Amino acid sequence: MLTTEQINEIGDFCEKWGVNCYDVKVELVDHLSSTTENLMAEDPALLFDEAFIQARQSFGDMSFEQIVKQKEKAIARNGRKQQLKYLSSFFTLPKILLTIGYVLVCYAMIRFIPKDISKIVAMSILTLSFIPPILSQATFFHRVDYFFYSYIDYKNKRCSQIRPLLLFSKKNNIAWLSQLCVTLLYVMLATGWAGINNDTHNIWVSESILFFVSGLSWIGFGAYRHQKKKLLGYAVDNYPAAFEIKQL
Amino acid sequence: MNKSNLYKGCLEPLVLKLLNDNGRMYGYEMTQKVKELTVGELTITEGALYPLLHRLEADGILTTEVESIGNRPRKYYKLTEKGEKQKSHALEELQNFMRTMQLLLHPQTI
Repeated sequence: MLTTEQINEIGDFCEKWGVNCYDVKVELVDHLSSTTENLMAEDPALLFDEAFIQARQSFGDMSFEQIVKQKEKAIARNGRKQQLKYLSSFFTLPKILLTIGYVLVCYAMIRFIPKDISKIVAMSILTLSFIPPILSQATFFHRVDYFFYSYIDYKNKRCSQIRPLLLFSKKNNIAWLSQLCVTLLYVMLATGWAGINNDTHNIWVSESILFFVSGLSWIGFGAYRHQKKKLLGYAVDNYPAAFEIKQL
Repeated sequence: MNKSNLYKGCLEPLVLKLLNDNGRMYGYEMTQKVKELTVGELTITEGALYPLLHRLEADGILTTEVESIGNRPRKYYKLTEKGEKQKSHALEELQNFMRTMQLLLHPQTI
């Protein structure tokens, strides 16, 4: 049986060859360790360093690159599949009915309620819709999502497996930016920056769009939270050792 | 012709059969088992085995579990329900291929 120092040496060697992905590293370290152990068992006079060199030679350096490349492809494919699966699982029948209900309410607002009242309602929903993304996006201007950061053993570079999951953090940022753009457009139309100060129709159309988009952003935010929670659960179930900080 | 080229297409059914017979296995164990069963005739290279295992895992044919053995973790592979079906299909295809080869090489024996 190899010592922990010897196992770490094998781990460092794998990292040097670009094997950062947690589960690939686990199996390559185990494979090289087993080969080394076997060689040492067959020839008890063989030292660890010599046995490890032989184990590496039997593996071939090109194999590392090949394995890592293939694994990255498999992760990306699997990550996309999981993201779609968890996103679609959010839209259960009650939520679909609520969405349809919301669209009908929007229509009713535009069609029947006096403009002044609907304007207040639209602005309230818009203002409130900004709060959850701001609260959850404390790291908006950073690339790393601290929600994950706190659970991943970055020190030991065991985060690679989770990297594809961080993509949807960027997607949320895009949604947030789109919302901001719609708001700016509204402000431009409402205050006459676009040169249509007294065009009531344009202002009303912009308010309606804004109201609709604000509500949808709530639904989008709900879907995002749901997807994030499910993906974290998936990552914890499949790669428990990468979440050692949480387990402790 | 290089012997490994002949075996290349057989790797997937072979891995699926091994996992079906042994329940769960880890990468190194698979290479050793094949070496043992074929008396050293066939050696699976790591560069071919692991990409295949990762692809099958991503396709939902295999599932994995990591277990700690002494001072290091070890990753085990096993067949999923989908993998069971895939195994039967892959073995059937391999047998068809072998029959066709027999037909081409020894027409009188078939």
